[in-house]
Amino acid sequence: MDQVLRIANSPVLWLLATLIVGVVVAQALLYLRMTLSFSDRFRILTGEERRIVFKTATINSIGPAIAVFFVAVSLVAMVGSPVTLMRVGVIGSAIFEFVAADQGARAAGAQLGTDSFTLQAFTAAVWVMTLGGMGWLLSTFFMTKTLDRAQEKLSVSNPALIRAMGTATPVAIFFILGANAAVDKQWLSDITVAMDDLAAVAVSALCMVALHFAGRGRPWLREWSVGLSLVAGLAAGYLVSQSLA
Amino acid sequence: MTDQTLEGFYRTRFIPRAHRIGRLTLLVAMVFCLLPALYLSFVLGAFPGVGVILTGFLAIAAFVGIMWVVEPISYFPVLGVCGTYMSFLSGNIGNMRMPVVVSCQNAIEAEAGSRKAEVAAVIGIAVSVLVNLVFLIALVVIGKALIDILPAPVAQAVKDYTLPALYGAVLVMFMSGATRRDALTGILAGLVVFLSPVPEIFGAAGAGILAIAAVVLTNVGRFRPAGQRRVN
Repeated sequence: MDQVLRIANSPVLWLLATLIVGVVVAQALLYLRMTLSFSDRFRILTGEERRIVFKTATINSIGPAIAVFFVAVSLVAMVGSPVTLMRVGVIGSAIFEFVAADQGARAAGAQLGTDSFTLQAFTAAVWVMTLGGMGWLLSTFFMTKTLDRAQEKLSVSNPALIRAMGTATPVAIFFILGANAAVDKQWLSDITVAMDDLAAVAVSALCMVALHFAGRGRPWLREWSVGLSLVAGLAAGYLVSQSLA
Repeated sequence: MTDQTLEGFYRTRFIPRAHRIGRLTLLVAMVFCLLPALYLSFVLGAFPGVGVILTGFLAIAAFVGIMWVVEPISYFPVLGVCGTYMSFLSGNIGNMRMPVVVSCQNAIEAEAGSRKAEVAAVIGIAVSVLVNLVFLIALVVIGKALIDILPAPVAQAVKDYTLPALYGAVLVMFMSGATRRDALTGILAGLVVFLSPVPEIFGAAGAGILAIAAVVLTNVGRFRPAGQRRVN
């Protein structure tokens, strides 16, 4: 195990992880530059709006980034820093990487975080994380052009459809994510409601409604609304879990 | 000529360039991703065997295989071309990219589907990718120290309730920008999948696809007669 972690934190793996992170950063910067020049050329965003977008994106990334950090910390203990950095940086749902590493280790007859986790088991874990994450990269590589063309065709014949899709789809996704977070169920039996999770979902939703109305005359409030609702939801979830315990 | 108008430029310059950047970076990323596994296997000689890798891979593919195809489709209407390439390379879509996109669009009051909304989405996602990396690098540099300075209740609350709270707030935000009809379609699609025996981990992607299908079906019925009348 110690020897595995020494290799897992070796300079070569650091170098390889840096390469991947470099691609992610390069891509983000290329798109940022291209889009800013597109925006300037046709005056799509004013300087003020641009500043608001930068600020809003930063504020609203911090909460989720801290949450990712928590899962990543336990991954570091299992597979070392470089692999964590590169896997959670690329296609990282930290939870998926955890399951993938676990399955890879199991297939090699080992268990994460124990002495049975040999270099071979570590290698198996890295392979499974890599190939598992590759699925999304491949499908995005091949499908995005097709999706774009399909959407373009639809928008020419029916522009309202695109707007409807862009608003109905995320509502459906976040409705079910919220419902699944608060309610555990098998088919329609064994339904259990987690009161603390429900409180977190409901309070942050209500807070958002309130901030939406309050934000009408106060643009700065709109930049903070998700962040503030998040804090209210965290507090509510914690208080309910304490009062139930 | 066509380059001079916003839409012309968007179609003939911006989008082709976006696909080029996206595909090139994904290709490079896929190759780079394989390097650590290859290095461990063939330089250090720890290759665990095809059988072991396949066993582990199939265990994963069985539960995420469908998502490889379904997720890019169901997030596309919000993420757009650049956003899709960026989000699927850097991950954390439901918990970070989507909330950031809707917050940015909302903060500048950009209408869903407009070019202004798309520009806000691309900038927002790029910034959130960079912010997330700063945190990940902090993770490997200062490690658990950041968690240790948070008071225990705060750490507990962040760990347990960030996702539920985020889902509640983001749902409301998306609904506030939707027409009543679209919001209702979305809620119904989500409810149908929630009440169905579809396993929880496919829920989000499944609800997204169902919503797209529902919107297409209901709108085709609504708009085609008008279109035909115009032709006749």
